[in-house]
Amino acid sequence: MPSLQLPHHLRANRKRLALSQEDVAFLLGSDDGGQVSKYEHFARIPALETALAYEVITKRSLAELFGGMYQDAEQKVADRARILLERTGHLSGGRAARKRETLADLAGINDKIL
Amino acid sequence: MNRNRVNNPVVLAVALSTWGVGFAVIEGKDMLVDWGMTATKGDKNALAAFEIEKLIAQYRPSVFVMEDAHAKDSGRSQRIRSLAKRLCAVAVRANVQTAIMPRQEIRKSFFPDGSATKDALAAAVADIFPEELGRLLPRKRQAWMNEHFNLAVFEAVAAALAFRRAGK
Repeated sequence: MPSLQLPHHLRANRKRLALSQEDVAFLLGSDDGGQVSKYEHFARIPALETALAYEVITKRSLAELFGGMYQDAEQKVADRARILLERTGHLSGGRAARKRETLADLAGINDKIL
Repeated sequence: MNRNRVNNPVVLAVALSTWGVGFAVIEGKDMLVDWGMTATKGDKNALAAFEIEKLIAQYRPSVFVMEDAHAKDSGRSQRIRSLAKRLCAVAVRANVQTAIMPRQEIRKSFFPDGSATKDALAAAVADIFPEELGRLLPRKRQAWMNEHFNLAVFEAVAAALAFRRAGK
């Protein structure tokens, strides 16, 4: 998947559904359309509860709605998983093997070559 | 928020019309991120330049795309030509690369022979983004009707897509 530059696509999804910023603010449980504007202009990041409400409103997964942020998180987790994988190299046993498999998967490394 | 990754750059395209400026923001190959018209009353050129400046600040596009308003066969008015220059200057000031595309090249991206009316082009674009643009598609223009102001939005989206399809 090509990496995205924009953190999210909240504005596009609101417009797709023909909703105004005030409509979305109301659905999010606020009467302040200005807050929605701040989200859409990348000035504020919605809290988790708000993000989940966006998922409900737009019927799009968080990974789709917040594509750029999701990819950032994915990349950072992969980098950390690689580090953790190196640290667990000396461990043996069934649980360690399972752990390495998990970390290799997160790091995007083929476990067979470990 | 981290917005430094640019291997999937954002394209801002505009289409200039009598009514105002249609704009479209596309991320990646064909992800429509924003679209609409700028102000249509008062000092149109000044307001349009201001709005485009705001869009550039918001989306930080890598490329600014516009149809060539100075081509011999473009038939654009002096105001539109002057606006085209002004918007290019806005983009250059913001360090955004500008791409001026001939009308024919944009049309060819959707119709192999390059000949299509604005209505046909708008319908082709609405087919690509039915959820986003379907409800904005104006009725086919009759000889006695003015051009619908929404057509500029479709032209802007078409320019952005044509730029992307040309692999630029």
